Amino acid sequence: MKRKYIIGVGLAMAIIATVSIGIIVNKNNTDLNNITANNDVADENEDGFETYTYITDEMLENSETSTMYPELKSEFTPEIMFNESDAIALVTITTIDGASMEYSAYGMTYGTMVVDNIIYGNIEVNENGLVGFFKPGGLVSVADYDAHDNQAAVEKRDYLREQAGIEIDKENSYMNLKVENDVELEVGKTYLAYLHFRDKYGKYEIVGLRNGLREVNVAQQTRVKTQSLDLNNIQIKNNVTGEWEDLDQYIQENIEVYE
Amino acid sequence: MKKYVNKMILSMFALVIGAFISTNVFAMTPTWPNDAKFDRGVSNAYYYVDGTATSYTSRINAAVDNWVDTGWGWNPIYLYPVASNYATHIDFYVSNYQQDAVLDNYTLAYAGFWDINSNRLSPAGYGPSVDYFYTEVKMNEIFDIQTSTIIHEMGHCFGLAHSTDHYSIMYPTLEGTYVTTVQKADHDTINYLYN
Ligand SMILES: [Zn+2]
Repeated sequence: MKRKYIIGVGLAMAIIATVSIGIIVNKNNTDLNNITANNDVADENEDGFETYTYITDEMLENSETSTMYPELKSEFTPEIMFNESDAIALVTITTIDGASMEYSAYGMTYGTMVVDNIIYGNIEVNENGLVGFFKPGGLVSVADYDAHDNQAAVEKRDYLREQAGIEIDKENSYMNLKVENDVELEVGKTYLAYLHFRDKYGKYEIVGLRNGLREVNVAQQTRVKTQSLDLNNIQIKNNVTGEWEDLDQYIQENIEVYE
Repeated sequence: MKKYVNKMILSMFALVIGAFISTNVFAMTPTWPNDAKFDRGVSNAYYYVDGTATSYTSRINAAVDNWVDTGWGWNPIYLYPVASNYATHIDFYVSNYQQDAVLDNYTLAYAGFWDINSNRLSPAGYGPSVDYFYTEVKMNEIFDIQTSTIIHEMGHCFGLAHSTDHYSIMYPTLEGTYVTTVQKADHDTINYLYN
Protein backbone atom coordinates (compact mmCIF):
# COMPACT_ATOMS: atom_id res chain seq x y z
CA MET A 1 0.00 0.00 0.00
CA LYS A 2 2.76 2.36 1.04
CA ARG A 3 4.83 1.46 -2.02
CA LYS A 4 1.89 2.17 -4.31
CA TYR A 5 1.61 5.57 -2.71
CA ILE A 6 5.31 6.29 -3.30
CA ILE A 7 5.03 5.20 -6.94
CA GLY A 8 2.01 7.46 -7.30
CA VAL A 9 3.86 10.46 -5.85
CA GLY A 10 6.88 9.72 -8.08
CA LEU A 11 4.65 9.63 -11.11
CA ALA A 12 2.95 12.89 -10.20
CA MET A 13 6.35 14.57 -9.75
CA ALA A 14 7.57 13.26 -13.12
CA ILE A 15 4.44 14.60 -14.82
CA ILE A 16 4.81 18.01 -13.10
CA ALA A 17 8.48 18.18 -14.14
CA THR A 18 7.61 17.36 -17.76
CA VAL A 19 4.86 19.97 -17.87
CA SER A 20 7.12 22.61 -16.26
CA ILE A 21 9.87 22.02 -18.83
CA GLY A 22 7.28 22.46 -21.59
CA ILE A 23 6.20 25.80 -20.16
CA ILE A 24 9.77 27.08 -19.75
CA VAL A 25 10.65 26.16 -23.35
CA ASN A 26 7.51 27.82 -24.61
CA LYS A 27 8.24 30.97 -22.61
CA ASN A 28 11.69 31.33 -24.13
CA ASN A 29 10.30 30.98 -27.64
CA THR A 30 8.05 33.97 -27.18
CA ASP A 31 10.36 36.41 -25.43
CA LEU A 32 10.16 39.79 -27.09
CA ASN A 33 12.65 41.45 -24.79
CA ASN A 34 15.62 40.40 -26.89
CA ILE A 35 14.75 43.11 -29.44
CA THR A 36 17.26 45.86 -28.74
CA ALA A 37 16.31 49.50 -28.67
CA ASN A 38 17.84 51.78 -31.29
CA ASN A 39 16.44 55.12 -32.38
CA ASP A 40 18.41 55.67 -35.59
CA VAL A 41 16.52 55.81 -38.84
CA ALA A 42 17.23 53.32 -41.64
CA ASP A 43 19.60 54.67 -44.23
CA GLU A 44 21.62 52.92 -46.92
CA ASN A 45 25.29 53.43 -47.67
CA GLU A 46 28.07 51.10 -48.87
CA ASP A 47 28.00 49.39 -45.47
CA GLY A 48 24.32 48.54 -45.91
CA PHE A 49 21.21 49.63 -44.04
CA GLU A 50 21.27 50.71 -40.45
CA THR A 51 18.98 48.61 -38.29
CA TYR A 52 16.28 50.13 -36.14
CA THR A 53 13.42 49.16 -33.87
CA TYR A 54 10.82 51.50 -32.44
CA ILE A 55 10.62 49.56 -29.18
CA THR A 56 12.42 51.25 -26.30
CA ASP A 57 13.08 49.95 -22.79
CA GLU A 58 10.74 52.67 -21.51
CA MET A 59 7.93 51.38 -23.72
CA LEU A 60 8.49 47.82 -22.49
CA GLU A 61 8.38 49.04 -18.89
CA ASN A 62 5.03 50.70 -19.57
CA SER A 63 3.54 47.64 -21.24
CA GLU A 64 1.48 44.61 -20.31
CA THR A 65 2.17 41.41 -22.21
CA SER A 66 -0.78 39.64 -23.69
CA THR A 67 -1.15 36.51 -25.78
CA MET A 68 -4.26 35.96 -27.89
CA TYR A 69 -5.60 32.50 -28.61
CA PRO A 70 -7.18 32.28 -32.04
CA GLU A 71 -9.35 29.47 -33.20
CA LEU A 72 -8.25 29.07 -36.80
CA LYS A 73 -10.35 27.49 -39.49
CA SER A 74 -7.33 25.30 -40.37
CA GLU A 75 -3.67 24.89 -39.52
CA PHE A 76 -1.00 26.78 -41.49
CA THR A 77 0.37 23.82 -43.42
CA PRO A 78 3.01 24.32 -46.16
CA GLU A 79 0.25 23.86 -48.77
CA ILE A 80 -2.07 26.46 -47.23
CA MET A 81 0.79 28.92 -46.73
CA PHE A 82 1.87 28.40 -50.35
CA ASN A 83 -1.65 29.07 -51.61
CA GLU A 84 -1.94 32.25 -49.54
CA SER A 85 1.46 33.63 -50.58
CA ASP A 86 2.51 35.82 -53.49
CA ALA A 87 6.14 35.04 -52.80
CA ILE A 88 8.40 32.90 -50.64
CA ALA A 89 11.85 34.34 -50.02
CA LEU A 90 14.90 34.62 -47.82
CA VAL A 91 14.74 38.09 -46.30
CA THR A 92 16.76 40.04 -43.73
CA ILE A 93 14.94 42.43 -41.41
CA THR A 94 16.30 45.98 -41.46
CA THR A 95 13.78 47.92 -39.39
CA ILE A 96 10.84 47.36 -37.09
CA ASP A 97 9.03 50.67 -37.35
CA GLY A 98 5.84 50.38 -35.34
CA ALA A 99 2.64 48.45 -34.67
CA SER A 100 -1.05 49.25 -34.89
CA MET A 101 -4.45 47.64 -34.53
CA GLU A 102 -5.34 49.26 -37.85
CA TYR A 103 -3.87 46.33 -39.79
CA SER A 104 -5.33 43.34 -37.94
CA ALA A 105 -7.54 42.31 -35.04
CA TYR A 106 -4.29 41.10 -33.41
CA GLY A 107 -2.40 44.27 -34.17
CA MET A 108 0.39 44.10 -36.72
CA THR A 109 4.00 45.14 -36.50
CA TYR A 110 5.34 46.82 -39.63
CA GLY A 111 8.84 47.46 -40.86
CA THR A 112 11.26 46.94 -43.72
CA MET A 113 13.45 44.13 -45.00
CA VAL A 114 15.84 43.36 -47.83
CA VAL A 115 15.21 40.41 -50.13
CA ASP A 116 18.20 38.06 -50.31
CA ASN A 117 16.85 35.20 -52.47
CA ILE A 118 13.43 34.70 -54.02
CA ILE A 119 12.39 31.05 -53.89
CA TYR A 120 8.93 31.44 -55.40
CA GLY A 121 6.94 34.29 -57.00
CA ASN A 122 7.86 37.94 -57.44
CA ILE A 123 8.44 40.74 -54.94
CA GLU A 124 7.96 44.46 -55.53
CA VAL A 125 11.01 46.20 -54.12
CA ASN A 126 10.87 49.93 -53.28
CA GLU A 127 13.23 52.44 -54.95
CA ASN A 128 15.55 52.35 -51.96
CA GLY A 129 15.93 48.57 -52.18
CA LEU A 130 13.67 47.81 -49.22
CA VAL A 131 10.38 45.95 -48.94
CA GLY A 132 7.66 46.71 -46.38
CA PHE A 133 6.34 43.89 -44.18
CA PHE A 134 3.60 43.18 -41.66
CA LYS A 135 3.79 40.63 -38.89
CA PRO A 136 1.14 39.77 -36.25
CA GLY A 137 1.34 41.33 -32.80
CA GLY A 138 3.58 44.06 -31.47
CA LEU A 139 3.70 46.87 -28.97
CA VAL A 140 0.62 49.03 -29.51
CA SER A 141 -0.43 52.03 -27.45
CA VAL A 142 -3.59 51.75 -25.36
CA ALA A 143 -4.91 54.75 -27.35
CA ASP A 144 -4.43 52.84 -30.62
CA TYR A 145 -5.95 49.70 -29.13
CA ASP A 146 -9.01 51.59 -27.91
CA ALA A 147 -9.47 53.37 -31.26
CA HIS A 148 -10.00 49.99 -32.98
CA ASP A 149 -11.91 48.14 -30.26
CA ASN A 150 -15.63 47.66 -29.62
CA GLN A 151 -17.03 50.73 -27.86
CA ALA A 152 -18.55 48.75 -24.97
CA ALA A 153 -15.22 47.02 -24.34
CA VAL A 154 -13.43 50.39 -24.11
CA GLU A 155 -16.11 51.76 -21.76
CA LYS A 156 -15.73 48.72 -19.49
CA ARG A 157 -11.98 49.23 -19.13
CA ASP A 158 -12.42 52.95 -18.47
CA TYR A 159 -15.06 52.14 -15.84
CA LEU A 160 -12.85 49.56 -14.09
CA ARG A 161 -9.90 51.96 -14.02
CA GLU A 162 -12.10 54.65 -12.57
CA GLN A 163 -13.36 52.25 -9.87
CA ALA A 164 -9.76 51.33 -9.02
CA GLY A 165 -8.70 55.00 -8.98
CA ILE A 166 -6.22 54.41 -11.81
CA GLU A 167 -5.38 57.05 -14.39
CA ILE A 168 -3.22 56.17 -17.34
CA ASP A 169 -1.69 58.12 -20.21
CA LYS A 170 -3.16 56.08 -23.06
CA GLU A 171 -0.70 57.44 -25.64
CA ASN A 172 2.28 56.25 -23.57
CA SER A 173 0.95 53.01 -22.12
CA TYR A 174 1.30 49.89 -24.22
CA MET A 175 -0.01 46.40 -24.80
CA ASN A 176 2.61 43.91 -25.89
CA LEU A 177 0.42 41.73 -28.10
CA LYS A 178 1.38 38.22 -29.12
CA VAL A 179 -0.44 35.47 -30.95
CA GLU A 180 -0.21 31.84 -29.87
CA ASN A 181 2.31 29.85 -31.95
CA ASP A 182 3.93 32.95 -33.40
CA VAL A 183 7.63 33.80 -33.18
CA GLU A 184 9.42 37.07 -32.50
CA LEU A 185 11.25 38.94 -35.22
CA GLU A 186 14.73 40.43 -34.80
CA VAL A 187 16.43 43.10 -36.88
CA GLY A 188 19.55 41.91 -38.71
CA LYS A 189 18.37 38.31 -38.77
CA THR A 190 17.61 36.38 -41.95
CA TYR A 191 14.45 34.33 -42.36
CA LEU A 192 12.61 32.13 -44.80
CA ALA A 193 9.31 34.02 -45.08
CA TYR A 194 5.97 33.31 -46.75
CA LEU A 195 4.74 36.67 -48.07
CA HIS A 196 1.24 37.81 -48.96
CA PHE A 197 1.00 41.21 -50.69
CA ARG A 198 -1.56 43.60 -49.20
CA ASP A 199 -2.46 46.00 -52.02
CA LYS A 200 -4.05 48.51 -49.70
CA TYR A 201 -0.76 49.18 -47.92
CA GLY A 202 1.87 48.12 -50.47
CA LYS A 203 3.42 45.84 -47.85
CA TYR A 204 3.83 42.07 -47.49
CA GLU A 205 2.19 40.20 -44.63
CA ILE A 206 4.31 37.36 -43.25
CA VAL A 207 1.91 34.42 -43.38
CA GLY A 208 1.57 31.29 -41.23
CA LEU A 209 2.81 32.40 -37.78
CA ARG A 210 5.77 30.20 -36.65
CA ASN A 211 5.49 27.95 -39.73
CA GLY A 212 5.84 30.81 -42.19
CA LEU A 213 8.73 32.69 -40.56
CA ARG A 214 11.78 30.48 -40.09
CA GLU A 215 15.19 31.73 -39.06
CA VAL A 216 18.12 30.96 -41.39
CA ASN A 217 21.46 29.92 -39.88
CA VAL A 218 23.54 32.84 -41.15
CA ALA A 219 25.14 35.49 -38.94
CA GLN A 220 22.92 38.29 -37.60
CA GLN A 221 23.98 41.57 -39.24
CA THR A 222 24.46 44.83 -37.36
CA ARG A 223 24.10 46.76 -40.64
CA VAL A 224 22.06 44.94 -43.23
CA LYS A 225 23.46 44.19 -46.67
CA THR A 226 21.66 42.14 -49.30
CA GLN A 227 23.26 38.71 -49.48
CA SER A 228 22.91 36.06 -52.14
CA LEU A 229 22.78 32.83 -50.19
CA ASP A 230 23.66 29.38 -51.45
CA LEU A 231 20.34 27.61 -51.03
CA ASN A 232 22.00 24.19 -51.01
CA ASN A 233 24.10 24.93 -47.96
CA ILE A 234 21.91 26.63 -45.42
CA GLN A 235 19.51 25.48 -42.77
CA ILE A 236 16.25 26.85 -41.43
CA LYS A 237 14.91 26.56 -37.91
CA ASN A 238 11.88 24.38 -37.26
CA ASN A 239 10.02 26.47 -34.67
CA VAL A 240 8.02 23.47 -33.46
CA THR A 241 10.92 21.09 -32.75
CA GLY A 242 13.66 23.75 -32.36
CA GLU A 243 15.84 21.79 -34.80
CA TRP A 244 17.67 23.07 -37.88
CA GLU A 245 16.61 21.53 -41.20
CA ASP A 246 18.15 21.65 -44.68
CA LEU A 247 16.57 24.38 -46.77
CA ASP A 248 17.08 22.58 -50.09
CA GLN A 249 15.17 19.57 -48.82
CA TYR A 250 12.42 21.81 -47.43
CA ILE A 251 12.07 23.54 -50.82
CA GLN A 252 11.81 20.21 -52.64
CA GLU A 253 9.28 18.70 -50.25
CA ASN A 254 7.18 21.70 -49.29
CA ILE A 255 7.37 24.36 -52.01
CA GLU A 256 8.22 22.84 -55.40
CA VAL A 257 5.47 20.23 -55.07
CA TYR A 258 2.82 22.98 -55.15
CA GLU A 259 4.29 25.10 -58.00
CA MET B 1 20.42 -10.07 -3.71
CA LYS B 2 18.83 -11.64 -6.78
CA LYS B 3 15.46 -11.34 -5.13
CA TYR B 4 16.11 -7.65 -4.54
CA VAL B 5 17.05 -7.05 -8.20
CA ASN B 6 13.93 -8.91 -9.31
CA LYS B 7 11.83 -6.74 -7.06
CA MET B 8 13.43 -3.62 -8.52
CA ILE B 9 12.77 -4.73 -12.09
CA LEU B 10 9.21 -5.52 -11.12
CA SER B 11 8.60 -2.10 -9.57
CA MET B 12 10.15 -0.35 -12.59
CA PHE B 13 7.79 -2.35 -14.80
CA ALA B 14 4.90 -1.30 -12.55
CA LEU B 15 5.99 2.35 -12.93
CA VAL B 16 5.92 2.17 -16.73
CA ILE B 17 2.52 0.45 -16.75
CA GLY B 18 1.28 2.93 -14.13
CA ALA B 19 2.36 5.88 -16.25
CA PHE B 20 0.53 4.41 -19.23
CA ILE B 21 -2.68 3.84 -17.25
CA SER B 22 -2.60 7.19 -15.46
CA THR B 23 -2.29 9.18 -18.71
CA ASN B 24 -5.43 7.44 -19.94
CA VAL B 25 -7.53 7.43 -16.78
CA PHE B 26 -6.60 10.96 -15.73
CA ALA B 27 -6.45 12.48 -19.24
CA MET B 28 -7.11 16.18 -18.80
CA THR B 29 -7.28 19.12 -21.12
CA PRO B 30 -4.23 21.37 -20.53
CA THR B 31 -4.61 24.45 -18.35
CA TRP B 32 -2.90 27.85 -18.48
CA PRO B 33 0.44 28.30 -16.67
CA ASN B 34 0.00 28.20 -12.87
CA ASP B 35 -3.53 26.92 -13.50
CA ALA B 36 -4.66 30.52 -14.05
CA LYS B 37 -8.45 30.90 -13.91
CA PHE B 38 -11.23 33.31 -13.00
CA ASP B 39 -10.23 34.89 -9.68
CA ARG B 40 -13.95 35.02 -8.72
CA GLY B 41 -14.71 31.39 -9.56
CA VAL B 42 -17.43 30.25 -11.96
CA SER B 43 -20.36 29.28 -9.75
CA ASN B 44 -21.97 32.71 -9.82
CA ALA B 45 -20.72 34.08 -13.09
CA TYR B 46 -22.13 36.59 -15.58
CA TYR B 47 -21.89 36.98 -19.32
CA TYR B 48 -22.66 39.86 -21.65
CA VAL B 49 -23.64 39.70 -25.30
CA ASP B 50 -22.68 42.96 -27.00
CA GLY B 51 -24.99 44.69 -29.46
CA THR B 52 -22.62 43.58 -32.23
CA ALA B 53 -23.22 39.91 -31.31
CA THR B 54 -26.96 39.74 -30.70
CA SER B 55 -27.48 37.53 -33.75
CA TYR B 56 -25.47 34.90 -31.85
CA THR B 57 -27.53 35.08 -28.65
CA SER B 58 -29.19 31.69 -29.07
CA ARG B 59 -25.89 29.96 -29.95
CA ILE B 60 -24.16 31.66 -27.02
CA ASN B 61 -26.96 30.51 -24.70
CA ALA B 62 -26.64 26.97 -26.09
CA ALA B 63 -22.90 27.06 -25.44
CA VAL B 64 -23.52 28.27 -21.88
CA ASP B 65 -26.00 25.42 -21.35
CA ASN B 66 -23.43 22.91 -22.55
CA TRP B 67 -20.86 24.14 -20.01
CA VAL B 68 -23.41 24.23 -17.17
CA ASP B 69 -24.67 20.75 -17.98
CA THR B 70 -21.92 18.90 -19.81
CA GLY B 71 -23.48 15.46 -19.45
CA TRP B 72 -20.33 14.28 -17.61
CA GLY B 73 -21.58 14.89 -14.09
CA TRP B 74 -21.44 17.88 -11.77
CA ASN B 75 -19.23 20.91 -12.28
CA PRO B 76 -19.33 24.30 -10.51
CA ILE B 77 -20.16 26.43 -13.58
CA TYR B 78 -23.25 28.58 -13.42
CA LEU B 79 -23.65 31.57 -15.71
CA TYR B 80 -26.28 34.32 -15.88
CA PRO B 81 -26.81 36.65 -18.85
CA VAL B 82 -26.77 40.38 -17.98
CA ALA B 83 -27.38 43.54 -19.98
CA SER B 84 -24.26 45.46 -18.90
CA ASN B 85 -20.64 44.30 -19.20
CA TYR B 86 -19.35 46.19 -16.14
CA ALA B 87 -19.25 43.21 -13.76
CA THR B 88 -19.20 40.28 -16.17
CA HIS B 89 -16.85 37.30 -16.48
CA ILE B 90 -17.26 36.73 -20.22
CA ASP B 91 -18.09 39.35 -22.86
CA PHE B 92 -19.04 38.38 -26.41
CA TYR B 93 -18.37 40.73 -29.32
CA VAL B 94 -18.34 40.57 -33.08
CA SER B 95 -15.39 42.71 -33.98
CA ASN B 96 -13.26 44.38 -36.59
CA TYR B 97 -11.09 41.95 -38.41
CA GLN B 98 -9.13 43.08 -41.48
CA GLN B 99 -10.21 40.81 -44.29
CA ASP B 100 -7.19 41.55 -46.47
CA ALA B 101 -4.95 40.12 -43.72
CA VAL B 102 -4.44 36.37 -44.10
CA LEU B 103 -4.30 35.78 -40.35
CA ASP B 104 -7.59 37.58 -39.76
CA ASN B 105 -9.13 35.72 -42.65
CA TYR B 106 -8.22 32.38 -41.04
CA THR B 107 -9.49 33.32 -37.59
CA LEU B 108 -12.96 32.36 -36.43
CA ALA B 109 -12.65 33.95 -33.01
CA TYR B 110 -10.15 34.56 -30.23
CA ALA B 111 -10.16 34.90 -26.45
CA GLY B 112 -8.44 37.62 -24.39
CA PHE B 113 -7.82 37.94 -20.63
CA TRP B 114 -7.95 41.04 -18.43
CA ASP B 115 -7.32 41.94 -14.82
CA ILE B 116 -9.52 44.19 -12.66
CA ASN B 117 -7.34 47.20 -13.56
CA SER B 118 -8.04 46.78 -17.29
CA ASN B 119 -4.62 45.35 -18.09
CA ARG B 120 -4.35 42.67 -20.70
CA LEU B 121 -2.82 39.60 -19.10
CA SER B 122 -0.13 37.06 -19.84
CA PRO B 123 2.99 38.21 -18.02
CA ALA B 124 4.87 35.01 -18.78
CA GLY B 125 4.30 35.51 -22.50
CA TYR B 126 2.31 32.31 -22.79
CA GLY B 127 -1.30 32.24 -21.66
CA PRO B 128 -2.59 34.12 -18.65
CA SER B 129 -0.26 32.96 -15.87
CA VAL B 130 -2.10 34.72 -13.05
CA ASP B 131 -5.79 34.55 -12.19
CA TYR B 132 -7.89 36.99 -14.18
CA PHE B 133 -11.00 39.11 -13.62
CA TYR B 134 -12.73 38.94 -16.98
CA THR B 135 -12.41 37.63 -20.51
CA GLU B 136 -13.50 38.63 -23.99
CA VAL B 137 -14.54 36.50 -26.93
CA LYS B 138 -14.10 38.35 -30.21
CA MET B 139 -15.83 36.74 -33.17
CA ASN B 140 -14.91 37.41 -36.78
CA GLU B 141 -17.70 39.15 -38.66
CA ILE B 142 -17.11 37.32 -41.95
CA PHE B 143 -17.83 33.86 -40.55
CA ASP B 144 -21.01 32.17 -39.44
CA ILE B 145 -19.67 31.16 -36.01
CA GLN B 146 -21.03 27.83 -34.83
CA THR B 147 -22.00 26.91 -31.25
CA SER B 148 -19.00 24.54 -31.05
CA THR B 149 -16.60 27.43 -31.66
CA ILE B 150 -18.30 29.46 -28.94
CA ILE B 151 -18.01 26.47 -26.56
CA HIS B 152 -14.30 26.28 -27.44
CA GLU B 153 -13.73 29.98 -26.76
CA MET B 154 -15.60 29.73 -23.45
CA GLY B 155 -13.27 26.85 -22.53
CA HIS B 156 -10.35 29.29 -22.86
CA CYS B 157 -12.23 31.77 -20.67
CA PHE B 158 -12.73 29.16 -17.92
CA GLY B 159 -9.02 28.25 -17.95
CA LEU B 160 -8.50 25.60 -20.61
CA ALA B 161 -5.59 25.84 -23.03
CA HIS B 162 -5.34 24.10 -26.40
CA SER B 163 -5.34 20.31 -26.44
CA THR B 164 -3.61 18.02 -28.94
CA ASP B 165 -6.53 15.60 -28.58
CA HIS B 166 -8.80 15.80 -31.64
CA TYR B 167 -11.61 14.55 -29.37
CA SER B 168 -11.36 17.54 -27.00
CA ILE B 169 -13.42 20.67 -27.68
CA MET B 170 -10.12 22.50 -27.06
CA TYR B 171 -8.34 21.24 -30.19
CA PRO B 172 -6.98 24.46 -31.78
CA THR B 173 -8.46 24.32 -35.28
CA LEU B 174 -12.05 23.83 -36.38
CA GLU B 175 -10.98 21.47 -39.16
CA GLY B 176 -9.12 19.21 -36.72
CA THR B 177 -11.78 19.08 -34.00
CA TYR B 178 -13.84 15.88 -34.18
CA VAL B 179 -16.36 16.87 -31.48
CA THR B 180 -18.85 19.72 -31.11
CA THR B 181 -19.55 19.66 -27.36
CA VAL B 182 -17.69 19.60 -24.03
CA GLN B 183 -15.94 16.24 -23.53
CA LYS B 184 -15.10 14.41 -20.29
CA ALA B 185 -11.45 15.57 -20.29
CA ASP B 186 -12.62 19.19 -20.65
CA HIS B 187 -15.25 18.77 -17.92
CA ASP B 188 -12.80 17.06 -15.54
CA THR B 189 -10.32 19.91 -15.94
CA ILE B 190 -12.98 22.44 -14.89
CA ASN B 191 -13.51 20.44 -11.69
CA TYR B 192 -9.75 20.22 -11.20
CA LEU B 193 -9.41 24.00 -11.55
CA TYR B 194 -12.35 25.19 -9.47
CA ASN B 195 -12.74 22.55 -6.75
ZN1 LIG C 1 -8.61 28.20 -29.05
